[in-house]
Amino acid sequence: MTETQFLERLAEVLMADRAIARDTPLESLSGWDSMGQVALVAMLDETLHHQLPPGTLQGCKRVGDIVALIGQKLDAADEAADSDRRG
Amino acid sequence: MLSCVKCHLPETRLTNDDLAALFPEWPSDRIFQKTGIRERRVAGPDETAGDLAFQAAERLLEGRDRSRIGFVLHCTQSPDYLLPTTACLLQDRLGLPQRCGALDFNLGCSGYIYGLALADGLLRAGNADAVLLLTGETYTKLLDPKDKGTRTIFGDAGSATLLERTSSNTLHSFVFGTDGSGAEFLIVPGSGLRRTAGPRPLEMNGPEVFNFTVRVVPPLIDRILERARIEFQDVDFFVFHQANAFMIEHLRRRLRIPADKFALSLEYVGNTVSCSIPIAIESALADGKIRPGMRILLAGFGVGLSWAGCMLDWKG
Repeated sequence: MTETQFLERLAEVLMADRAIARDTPLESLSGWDSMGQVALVAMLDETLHHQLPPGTLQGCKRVGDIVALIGQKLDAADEAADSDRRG
Repeated sequence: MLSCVKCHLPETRLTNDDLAALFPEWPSDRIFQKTGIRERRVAGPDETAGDLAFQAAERLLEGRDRSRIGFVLHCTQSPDYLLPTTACLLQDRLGLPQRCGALDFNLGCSGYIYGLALADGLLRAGNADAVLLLTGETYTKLLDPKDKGTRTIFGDAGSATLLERTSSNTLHSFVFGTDGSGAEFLIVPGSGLRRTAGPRPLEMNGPEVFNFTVRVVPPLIDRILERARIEFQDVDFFVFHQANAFMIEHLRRRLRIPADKFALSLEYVGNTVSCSIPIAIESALADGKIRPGMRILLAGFGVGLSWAGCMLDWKG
C-alpha cells in the first residue's frame, strides 16, 4: 500500500469529509474518537498486518504521527515519489 | 468434565435508542454498526452480581442433587462485599453442603477460562467430584453515566457451569497469558484500598484493549492448537469472549475462521465480561451449533491484561 492509498483509507476510517494530509490535526476529524481509533487499529492489522506497540495511539496528534508509526510498511516507491513532490 | 451451562440476565433493557437519546452524536445505527449490540441488560439498584450468579445456579441445579457439589468457584469483579467472599454467601443461599469449598476469584473477560482450569484441576486432583463454576458481573454499576464508550458495550449477567468427574465432555490444552503492564487500559481507579486516585468510574481505553487483542489472540490460538496437537481446520467451533462484534469479527476474519464456525451472541446482551463465553455456549447448544463429536476452542481476553484459552471436546 502506498502512502496516498493509506491516507485515502485513513480518511474513510476517520470519516473525514475532505482529503487529509500529514499535517491534518486528528482532533479536527469527527471520526477521531474511541470508535474511530478502534477502526484504525483494525485497518492497520488487516491491511498492513501491523500491530501498534502499547500506548502509542495517545501520542498521535496529527495524521503524520500515524504515518510515522507504520512508515516502513508503506510502499517505499510512493514515499520517494512523495518526497519528490515535496521537493 | 463440563456437564451443563445455564445463564441468567437481569430484566431491565438498555437499547441503542435509549443511548442515542442520551448521546445524540452517536445515532443508534452507528452504535450497532460499531458494536454489533442492539441492547444490554442492566441489574437493578438492589440486584448484585451474587444475585445474578444465584439465579443462574438455581436454573442449573433444579432437579439435581446439590449434596454432590464439592466446590463452588465464583468469578466476579463487582462482588457483593469486599468481604465476606460472595461464594461463601452463595454456598448458603444455594443450599450447598457445608463440606463444600468456596472461593471467589477476580478476573474479567478471561475469567471463565481460568475458572474452567481451576475446576478441572480440582476434579483431576480428586478434591471434588462436582464443581459449580459461577460468574456474576454488574459492570454497569461501575460505569460513568456520561461515558458513552463503555455504556454502549457492557451488560450485566450471571452464569453457572457444572463440572463433574463423570462427564465425558473433556477440557484440555489450557493456555494462559498475563501482561500487567496494561492494567491502566481497563481499570476502576480507587475501587480497592489503593486510594491514590480516589473512587472513580470504570475507565476503558477501548483502542488499546483492542490493540492488545489483535496482538495476543492469534498466538494464543496457535498455542492451544499446538498443545492439542490438532490442525486449525480440525476445530469445529470457536467461542471467543464476546467483547464487541466489530472486534471479534475482525479477529475472525484475520484468523480466517468461517462465520458458521464462530459464536456471535452479544446482540441482545452486550459484553457481559466473564459471563460472555458461557452465554455463547448455552446459546450455541440451544441452536444446535455445538453438537456431539465437536471440538470447540474457547478463548477469553481482556482486563488485567489477561488471556487464556482451551479446547472443549463435546460428547453431548
